[in-house]
Amino acid sequence: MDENTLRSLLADALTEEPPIGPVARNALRTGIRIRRRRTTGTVGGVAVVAAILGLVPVIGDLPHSGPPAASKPAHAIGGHGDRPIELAFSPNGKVLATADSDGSARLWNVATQRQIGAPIKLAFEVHINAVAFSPDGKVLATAVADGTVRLWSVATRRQIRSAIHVGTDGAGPAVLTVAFSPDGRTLATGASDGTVGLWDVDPHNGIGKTWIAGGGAVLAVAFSPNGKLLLTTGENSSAQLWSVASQRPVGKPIGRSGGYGVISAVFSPNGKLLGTVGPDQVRVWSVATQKRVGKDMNPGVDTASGVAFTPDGAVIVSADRDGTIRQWSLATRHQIGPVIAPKGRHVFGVEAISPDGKLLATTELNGPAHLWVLREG
Amino acid sequence: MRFADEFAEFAETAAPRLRRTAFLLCGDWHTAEDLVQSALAKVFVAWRRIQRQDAAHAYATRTLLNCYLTDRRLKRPVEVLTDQLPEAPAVEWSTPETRMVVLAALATLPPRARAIVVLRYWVDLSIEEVASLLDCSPGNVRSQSSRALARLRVELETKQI
Repeated sequence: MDENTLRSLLADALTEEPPIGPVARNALRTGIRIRRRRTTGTVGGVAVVAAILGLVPVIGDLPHSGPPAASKPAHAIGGHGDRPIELAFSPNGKVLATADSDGSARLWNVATQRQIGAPIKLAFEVHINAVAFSPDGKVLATAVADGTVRLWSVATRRQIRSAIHVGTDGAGPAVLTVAFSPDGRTLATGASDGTVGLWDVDPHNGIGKTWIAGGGAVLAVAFSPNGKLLLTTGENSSAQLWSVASQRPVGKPIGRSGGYGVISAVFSPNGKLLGTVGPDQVRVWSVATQKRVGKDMNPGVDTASGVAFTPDGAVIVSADRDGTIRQWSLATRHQIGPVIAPKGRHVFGVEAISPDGKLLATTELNGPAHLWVLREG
Repeated sequence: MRFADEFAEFAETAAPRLRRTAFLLCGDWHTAEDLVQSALAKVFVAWRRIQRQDAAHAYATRTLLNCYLTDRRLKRPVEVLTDQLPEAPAVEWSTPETRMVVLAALATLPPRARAIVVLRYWVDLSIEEVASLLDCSPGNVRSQSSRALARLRVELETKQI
């Protein structure tokens, strides 16, 4: 029996395939299991539908509002078939890493906007959802949709150490986000099934710890600058602080009261404040008390999609879903500097500000990433 | 609604193929449908990030495989290949149909070996792709593959296929 015979035998085994019934077909369409045996799947599925619908970016032309637009020159990164969906600056600001829509990750020279070497690709095409540099800039961590985190040498773009498997049963929920601790020894992960994980970067130092964040899929994780706290942003539009040492929640979820949903959250550079973006407001919170600090900043449109602090902590940069990028003074809460309004572009998120505070990197729905000059010199 | 619509379209396209793969893995259309539903539910959760359809197909296949390999109902006590012929599988032997014989032969394989055969010769993946899916070395896939093939050959030749 040769291989081709086996191929046709396997096809023979599929004769008398019953049709997919209408109820089952409907269940397949919505991705929700009908069978009640494993109720967690059903409940989780419904919750996820609601959460995903709430986060769908607006597509189409929204009217511009606010001050007249003054676009700064932007450099395009990628966009020839590969569309960056997440990105990160290296600690020295010279390299930009992107996770691209074709499932690979790429490294770019920030100064020339040229790609460095061949793309990082997995043998089997699965999606790389997010990228993170180690604090020394030598290692790139990729969050992979197959339930793994893989580490790569930035110099050789080869995989180092074996993959970290996030799922407990090997069923592998998609890893959506990854972050290095400030000392570079621990990785934090967030997965589609709502688990948060802490993992030793050194493969010989035991196994990881995982827990359920309780806010649906974990879309973002970030360590506080002192490495003691972990910030997670969940699909149910709330953020939560956790103790890295005990993996217990610190305070209540942020953004679950008063109808304010958190779409994105970041630590300020000194670790004392959190900046969050909700459906219509940019808000600042105290890390110590988890209470609001000062006035909200109102971008003037009903959807904002991303937020970042400049490295000196004085300015918050926010992106609206119509593509407008605004800068706000943390002290006065007033808009400062020019409004960047790329015509016809739909910014997906303010992804990163370069370590020197001069460049802002954004991603958009169906095009290249862009580098914007925030500050000259 | 865009994400939900896109997912519905994907599920519509992917479901028949996934269901056939699942059937070859488990040998039962009801369990196959169940496995596909589990897999698609997981894909749906990750849908926001799986933007491209072919990446979604790959992810769906992987998820299906994981659902199969971790399904308690399908776990077998013995997962080691031996020279011994296994006990007769629970199949209606009086039906002289090729498909029954093929299914019975497949049922003699441990789940991972069966998955390798189905992925290589039905889904038509390369050795490297199968290795990546099962998270083992290509050499491991190659050796398991040839052992599984030898076993199937014995099984099928006894039944004169």
